[in-house]
Amino acid sequence: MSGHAIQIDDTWVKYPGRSGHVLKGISLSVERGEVLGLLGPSGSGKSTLLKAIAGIIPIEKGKIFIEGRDVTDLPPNKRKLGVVFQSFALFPHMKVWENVAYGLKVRRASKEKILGKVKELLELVGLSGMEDRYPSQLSGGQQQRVALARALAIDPRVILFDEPMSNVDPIFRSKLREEIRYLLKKREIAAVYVTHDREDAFEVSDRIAVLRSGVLEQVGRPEMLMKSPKNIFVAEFLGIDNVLEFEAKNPLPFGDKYSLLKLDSGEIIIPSSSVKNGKGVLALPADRLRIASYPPPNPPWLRGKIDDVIFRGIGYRLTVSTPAGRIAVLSKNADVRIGEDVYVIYDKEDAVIIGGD
Amino acid sequence: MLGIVIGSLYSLFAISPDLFTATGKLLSDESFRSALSRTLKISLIVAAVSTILSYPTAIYINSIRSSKVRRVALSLVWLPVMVNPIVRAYGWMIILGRYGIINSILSALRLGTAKILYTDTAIVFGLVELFTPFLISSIYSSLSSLNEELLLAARTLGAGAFRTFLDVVIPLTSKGYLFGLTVIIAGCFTAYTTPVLLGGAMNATLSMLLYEYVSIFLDWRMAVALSLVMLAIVISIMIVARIAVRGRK
Amino acid sequence: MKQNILFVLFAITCLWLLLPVFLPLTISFSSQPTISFPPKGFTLKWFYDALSMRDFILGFRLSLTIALSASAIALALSLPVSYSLWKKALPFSEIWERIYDLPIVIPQMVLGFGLFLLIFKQFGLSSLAGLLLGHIFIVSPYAMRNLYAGLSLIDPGIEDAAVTLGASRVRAFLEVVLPNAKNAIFSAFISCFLISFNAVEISLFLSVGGVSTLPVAMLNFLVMRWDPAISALSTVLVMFTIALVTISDYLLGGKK
Repeated sequence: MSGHAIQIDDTWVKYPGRSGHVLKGISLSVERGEVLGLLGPSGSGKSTLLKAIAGIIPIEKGKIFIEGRDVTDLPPNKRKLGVVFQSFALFPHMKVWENVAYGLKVRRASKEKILGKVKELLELVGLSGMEDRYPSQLSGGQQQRVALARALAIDPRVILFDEPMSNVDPIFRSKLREEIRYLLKKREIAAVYVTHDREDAFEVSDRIAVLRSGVLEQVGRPEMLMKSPKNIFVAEFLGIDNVLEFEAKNPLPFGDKYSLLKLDSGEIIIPSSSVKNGKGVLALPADRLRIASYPPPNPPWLRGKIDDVIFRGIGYRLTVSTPAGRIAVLSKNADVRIGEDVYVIYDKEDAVIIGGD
Repeated sequence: MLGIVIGSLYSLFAISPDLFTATGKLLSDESFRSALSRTLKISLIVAAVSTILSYPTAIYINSIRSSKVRRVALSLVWLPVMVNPIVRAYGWMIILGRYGIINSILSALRLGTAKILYTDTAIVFGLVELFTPFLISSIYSSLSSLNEELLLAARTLGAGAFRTFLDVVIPLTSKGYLFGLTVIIAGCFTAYTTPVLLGGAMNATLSMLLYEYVSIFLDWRMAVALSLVMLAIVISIMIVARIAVRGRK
Repeated sequence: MKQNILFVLFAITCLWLLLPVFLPLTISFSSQPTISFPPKGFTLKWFYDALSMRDFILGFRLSLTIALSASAIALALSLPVSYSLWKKALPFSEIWERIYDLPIVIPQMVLGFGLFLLIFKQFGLSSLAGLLLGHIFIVSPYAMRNLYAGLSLIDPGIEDAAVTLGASRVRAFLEVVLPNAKNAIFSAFISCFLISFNAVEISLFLSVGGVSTLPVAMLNFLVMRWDPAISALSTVLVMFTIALVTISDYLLGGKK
């Protein structure tokens, strides 16, 4: 228990004033110094989970531990967490240094300590010299840095981020993400980073938790999630290429681990474990596919029509529409015409298994 | 738009000459002095009581989740403003009178009778009722436009509920509060209906004094002087308020 | 726990604010001729009394006339200003807003007295104009604020949309903005009407041909003696007010 930075046990949160739960039985843990990305669509409950950890909203059932302490019944001002809000929530009537110093002021730190710490932190986030400015005089990126410095001032072991990049210009996001991650690692601070943008999550997180409608779909390192997504939702949300669903009424065995599906539009080889309830789900990486004008002698292959050809820098992206869905194929050349009939070929080992064991 | 400017300028011009002698006579007059101090005292007490009532009310209404219920609450609070001040003062007479509600309760408990009506206290009750809706509305509009995350930020940084109120809510609603406060104080100096009905002839406020000069003594020179003094007082209140708001920025 | 304290204070405030409004209603049916509580008996006598007093009837007519005209004129004058503010087409908008706040600050009695002197000197005693001017003045801020608030709920883009579709600015205003602002205009009118009808201090020194407005008549009556007729009148007035306010709220809120 005491090994984790955050531990959440079977936590349920109700909708205020409505029936039903925003969060259903969430169990999660975050290790010391780890950055956990909380990814999910709007309404999935990720912000709610963050607020529950912070103690801002009450939980109906379950327990929350921070650094081994049971904080379930503690109010937010006793949990010793740093929080960076979506709107930054900088106090507009206080100067930058007063904002950063606030947590220390509440703890009645000495004046010297406050001044020293504020100076150190502002230098850390690259804002020395801005102490006497007001938040309204700063850019979005600068405001975020102040918010970070303010959260760091109270020496938390955990910092929570609530969609911190939404109010920052897209151009600056990458750099800011890097800086945040660097600071967190340097100080060995654990973090929960909520976002609906998968690129955001991938760049910052050590592990990612995918949330849908209040339920934790899958947790794991990004590579693991990309290679073995648990279901179609996770696969599509993570942006895995070409998630396809096939009719699998009479699968024929093909080798010991695979099945062969004979369809009108093609012959599909699919891991047997992916065939359930008359359907087979498969994801095909766009860069491992080939296009041919004639069907190959051996399966697997799929027939379709070229829909679109776009130049993408290192090659072309061809969109092929097939009965099973639209497939994106990355190809070095584009000697195809739009509307032409083609055959998509892949190697059975390259397919990404969805919902495997 | 011009109507406003014309209305204000012309009528003010209409106030006749003979200013200085009359003003001097006025300022040293006893009844003026007592009316002035009484009005001042009353307006400060009303401001204080109103603040104590308005802030919690505004906070409470702001914390109501359902926007429908919130609107009802706001209408409820604002309703008295739409009702004739005479009716409201009359209501107070019923509550505070010799045979009114409070005394009925007191005599039922055998605590004797209290003479509240026709005292300064009665005026305070009435004026608080008259002006509190303005303060509530003013504070509320500042409060409702406050970003909720600011309060959450303060809490996660370690501030308790009361501390958050002091450090975040009060500074950020001060503009609304000062505006409402101005309305209250200026209003207390110029209200007539409520003080005359609840205070009686013995406890005169400035506005009551003005009425006496105009309609009873028919001493229009003094009336003009008094009018100018009242105007000066009100304008200086506004200026002070403006400075206070600027200071916050 | 904090929530409970807040609620208690809220309840006390509501009580403080609303009790005096509704009390006169309760005793207007009482058969006792003095102000006492709790009321005893039941009678409509006071209503008959109140409604048959000459001062009140004349006062009512005067108040009604003034309120209707002052509100209409104030609205008409304020509409251009609110409109310009809404379209953000007015330079020095802050100054205009301050001008419109003036009437709230300037003591009504002082203004009333000033108007009285003006009328007295220029036109001889008692004139409708003085009273009307005064009421227009005090009502204008409410007209402007209500109109502006109502207009703010409308997207200014719709007027531009109409113009790009071929309508002239005037036509766009009449056919596109005005219909949407209908509710705002009505509720602004109701607010102005109530303020004017209930106004006391401004009308104190201004009477027309010996007739004072209803509130002033009531005041003079009440200062002389306690009479339940006032409570009957109060009841009527409060009912009237509540009815109007409800209509106004419905108009403003119903649009959602």
